[in-house]
Amino acid sequence: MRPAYFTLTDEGFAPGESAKSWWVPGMIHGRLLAGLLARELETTHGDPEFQFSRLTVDMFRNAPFEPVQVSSVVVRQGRRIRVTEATVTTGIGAVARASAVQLRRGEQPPSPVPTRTPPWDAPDPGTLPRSVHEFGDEGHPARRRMWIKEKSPLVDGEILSPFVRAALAADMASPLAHRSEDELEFINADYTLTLSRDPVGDHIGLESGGHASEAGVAVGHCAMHDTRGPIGYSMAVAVANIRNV
Amino acid sequence: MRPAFFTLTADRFVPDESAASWWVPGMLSGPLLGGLLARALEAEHGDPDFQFSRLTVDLFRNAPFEPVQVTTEVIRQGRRIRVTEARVLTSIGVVARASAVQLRRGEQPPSPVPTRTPHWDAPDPTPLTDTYTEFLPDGDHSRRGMWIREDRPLVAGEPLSPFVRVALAADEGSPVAHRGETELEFINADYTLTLSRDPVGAFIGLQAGGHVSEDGVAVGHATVHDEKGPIGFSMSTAVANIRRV
Repeated sequence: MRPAYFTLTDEGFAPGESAKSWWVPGMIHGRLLAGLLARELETTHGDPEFQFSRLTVDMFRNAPFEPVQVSSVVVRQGRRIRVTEATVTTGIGAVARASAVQLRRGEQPPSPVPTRTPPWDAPDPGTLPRSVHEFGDEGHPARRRMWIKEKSPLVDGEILSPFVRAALAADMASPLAHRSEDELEFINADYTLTLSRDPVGDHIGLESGGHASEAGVAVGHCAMHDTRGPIGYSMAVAVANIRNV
Repeated sequence: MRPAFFTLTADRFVPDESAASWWVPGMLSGPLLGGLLARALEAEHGDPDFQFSRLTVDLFRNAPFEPVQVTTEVIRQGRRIRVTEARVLTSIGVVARASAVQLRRGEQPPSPVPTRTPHWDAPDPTPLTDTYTEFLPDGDHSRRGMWIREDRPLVAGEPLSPFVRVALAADEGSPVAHRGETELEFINADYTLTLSRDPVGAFIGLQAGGHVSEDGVAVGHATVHDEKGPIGFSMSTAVANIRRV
């Protein structure tokens, strides 16, 4: 097992070496803050009768490489819906936050809903050695697909839950949707993950779905899968950016 | 011009009878609350240098048919990003809220991004006179679409801004994505609109992009267009529901 990204200490979640930002030196990776937010919301407000159907993560400030605190509040607790919110706080203040919608699971309505979500004919991930494996589709450069198997625990001593695993993978929708043929020139400010069910197994699949950009502002989305099929979507907004690492 | 949905009187938005809910008698329409939230965020925090790239609207409680108040706050004001929040208040408390991400417009990066945004096969809207016009390319419900031309002001005496116009239309992404061939059996708890630019003209187009559902929890999305092309996406989560009107 690889070392965890964070260790829970008296000062908060202390980042390990592997928690560094891909974009900016000396900062914590935004996707891991999203993972901490999902973990907090699930730990404090999760309920087996409710599905986390949406997680919207705002990553609005570079997080200094230091222990971080995570807190959460209930916005609305109804019979069929729960809305909650969580914040990551550091020495410079709040750096990221998330809102989540949980919906009560029930009976599936009788009428089938026609869908364009494409069938997922990806290679068996069990044969893939890498934690992030991207594969294309010959002749269709816009069709990008990826299997992600997170190998490090988020927090030392804890097993990744299916929901946190999906939240950690969902940030990859931005590069899949917003990359040019060879360069990633947009950095995402957020992502919104929607799930009709939690993923099964260790592998999360993403497939590019759409992208629109103008004047350095990009929006786009991917479908999310597990080995059994589609489970939802991840959408991200991003701004033109040059990598500083 | 038809009467506005609301009249602003002493800091409260007084609903016209046209503001009644489609789902539940004696309640306010959810999408109109999304419009009021977008209007307040734009009026109080809009900036010509920034694009509203995301608007997430949580509709978590039935709103009684009475005058409502809207408040906003700034979560993060950075050089390239602004995150803001708004709430709709009624006599029973907060019934809806929204968060928005604004990104600074700038230079578009040089490398083109390959995209799978579906081909837009909508009819020319110019001759259309109805508020909502559905279309079904090749009779295929999975590609169903809609042109929306809102012909009422949201607030009396104010023209609809492009952002508020698209925010009002974005809620229709839910029925477009979640309806069966004949019945709509899911009610949305939220919608998340992303925009690379504001719409031009009076018509907003939506076309189904994808849907997944299980145990009465649905997630899906639609592509958002104007007459010039794709401008973003609208994603929503919804729960199984029977209409009571």
